[in-house]
Amino acid sequence: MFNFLRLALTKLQTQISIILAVSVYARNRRASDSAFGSWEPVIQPLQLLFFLIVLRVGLKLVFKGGGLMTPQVGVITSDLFFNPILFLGTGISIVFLFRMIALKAINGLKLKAPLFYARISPLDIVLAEALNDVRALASMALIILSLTWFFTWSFRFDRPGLAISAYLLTVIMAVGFGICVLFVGQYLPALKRIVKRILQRIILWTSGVFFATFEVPAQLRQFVTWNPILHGVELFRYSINDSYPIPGISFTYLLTCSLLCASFALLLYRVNESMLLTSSDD
Amino acid sequence: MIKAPIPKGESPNAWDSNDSGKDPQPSTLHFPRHLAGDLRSRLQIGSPDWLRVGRFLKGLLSARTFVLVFIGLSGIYAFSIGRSRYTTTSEFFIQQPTPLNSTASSIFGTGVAVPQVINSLVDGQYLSVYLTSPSIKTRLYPKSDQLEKLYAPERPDIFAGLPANSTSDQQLAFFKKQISIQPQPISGSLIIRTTGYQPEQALKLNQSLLTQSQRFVNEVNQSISADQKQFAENELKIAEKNLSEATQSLQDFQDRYGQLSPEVEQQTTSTFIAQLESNLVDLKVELATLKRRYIDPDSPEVAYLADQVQELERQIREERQKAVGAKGRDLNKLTAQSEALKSDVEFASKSYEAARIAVDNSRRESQRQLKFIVMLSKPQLPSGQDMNWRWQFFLASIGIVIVGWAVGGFVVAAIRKE
Repeated sequence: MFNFLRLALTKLQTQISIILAVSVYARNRRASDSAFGSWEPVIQPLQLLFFLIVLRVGLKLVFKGGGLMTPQVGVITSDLFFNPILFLGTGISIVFLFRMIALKAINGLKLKAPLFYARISPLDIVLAEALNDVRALASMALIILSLTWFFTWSFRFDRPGLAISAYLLTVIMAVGFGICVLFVGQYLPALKRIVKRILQRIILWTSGVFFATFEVPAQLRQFVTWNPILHGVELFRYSINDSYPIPGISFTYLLTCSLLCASFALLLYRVNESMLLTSSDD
Repeated sequence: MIKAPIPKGESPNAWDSNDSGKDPQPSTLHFPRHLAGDLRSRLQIGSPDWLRVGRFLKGLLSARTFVLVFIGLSGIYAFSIGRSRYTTTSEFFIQQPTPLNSTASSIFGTGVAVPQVINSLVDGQYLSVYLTSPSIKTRLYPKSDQLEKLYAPERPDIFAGLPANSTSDQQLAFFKKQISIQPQPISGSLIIRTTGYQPEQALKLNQSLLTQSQRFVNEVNQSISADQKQFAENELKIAEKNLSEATQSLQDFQDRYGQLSPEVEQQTTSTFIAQLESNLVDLKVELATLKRRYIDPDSPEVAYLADQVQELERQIREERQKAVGAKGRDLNKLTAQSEALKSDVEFASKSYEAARIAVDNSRRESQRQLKFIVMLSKPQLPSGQDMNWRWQFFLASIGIVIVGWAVGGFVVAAIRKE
């Protein structure tokens, strides 16, 4: 029993070392291709965040004529719980995480050089790429949180454990979802294209980056809460401020979706590993 | 971690031949002198003891060691040194006995169309703020050193507890840490969870908070009802006083000017004057006839009629003066005064009626809005210590390490790369 545990730990340690090594290699490679170097994965979501903030503030000024930080009197909105930058930042850090990881998994392996080594399997490369994205977007989220706390001078992080859990479950779900779509897409190419379009264009607007679930009318809520990314986003916000209302949001649902995606992905990967080697950019 | 590429023609497993147990053969190559030391240290050939100690110390000061020590210490603290904590839980629901058409009002009486569950939830939010307020802490622990004595730190865990000579802010922060109040969004109930270093501490604190909750709900209800009732009764008193004054004024007026109505009086006077004027016209016609008949205007018949006309005119003037003049009865003014007084009485009577209805409504409404605390789960003496905080502490330490590694590693690598 002890030998088995020792062997399992050694293998796990080796696997982690491999993933870390590939992630360093992938990061360096990506940094050399980009004008922003290693900061590229952070700059891209920050650009979007800046654009969305300008859009939101502009729309608010046009339609309601209020300041950025001024909540409306008599109306319960997300502004009562978060300032708009933090609200958008938390949403983008989760949605972008899912989008980037899932798209990379769907597109298949572009980074094939590490496969020269026998110990490195395609899944290691997918996980290494995901790890880089996690680190970059977690850094971005932490920077936004720190800056917001610094400027508002009100530190609040009610449930750090839940935040980490929601973050990691989103990663697991993204990897699993991406791999599932990749394999199913080999038989149904249209599905792959549709999912990619959804990930690139629609998911940003339906995952709670702009709205809070409690702001959606109760009759319409059931049509948006099927989206597990929304659960991740709302749970992440809830973990920062636990008085933020999250009707219809469940940690169990997120956990179930993540585990289902991951389980199906591992099953499909086991029997169709070679399919991951086919990369596509359509 | 990335190995050199495997030469063609060799299987990857051939590189693992060192794992078979055989010692590696020393190299026969001659290296430059400045590389020889480093090579020696790597191959561990004939390295002196001080080099080994140095390598050991270098290994000790690595980041991995710090992380392991940090996690190890947090594990030791969480599972060995840390004082046992005991938790007591109670659950209750704030119930309004006579909900009308699924609308209800919160503790503060704001009438909103919400279901009973949401209403209890809103009240729960108010309670959660109230129970963690400084006034409750002062009410439960009136003396400043009372909390310090109850929760004094004990060896070996000197971090847990409230140190002596703590400030009131520290005491309040510590008090808040011992309490967790969670309104349940689905059921609308409120869960109060208290922590103590002894089972009795946790139970007693929970019971005290329940008492305070009960008191809060009752006090707020009573004060709102009392305020509403007091306001309505004050309004009734004012209305009553106004009615009494208006009635008295009308009574005084009638006492002074008699019971006859100014309108009827004015009507009678007008008729009387009209009759006098009619007589005057007749006399004037008769006078004109006589003047034509008699050449002498001073004849006794003419003079008699002229005197009658003059007298009648004077009489009419006097009557008119009496009716509207300042020195007379001034019936116009009296009529206006009488009308005003009657209006005052009528208005005061209606106000009085409205105030009486408001008092009645206020009494009924205060009875309808009475709220009660329905206990779903009473606090019990904990039978064993709560292990949750130990796991939470340990896992949080690991979480800090993971986040630190993920974010710190990324930032450091990016800066180095730049």
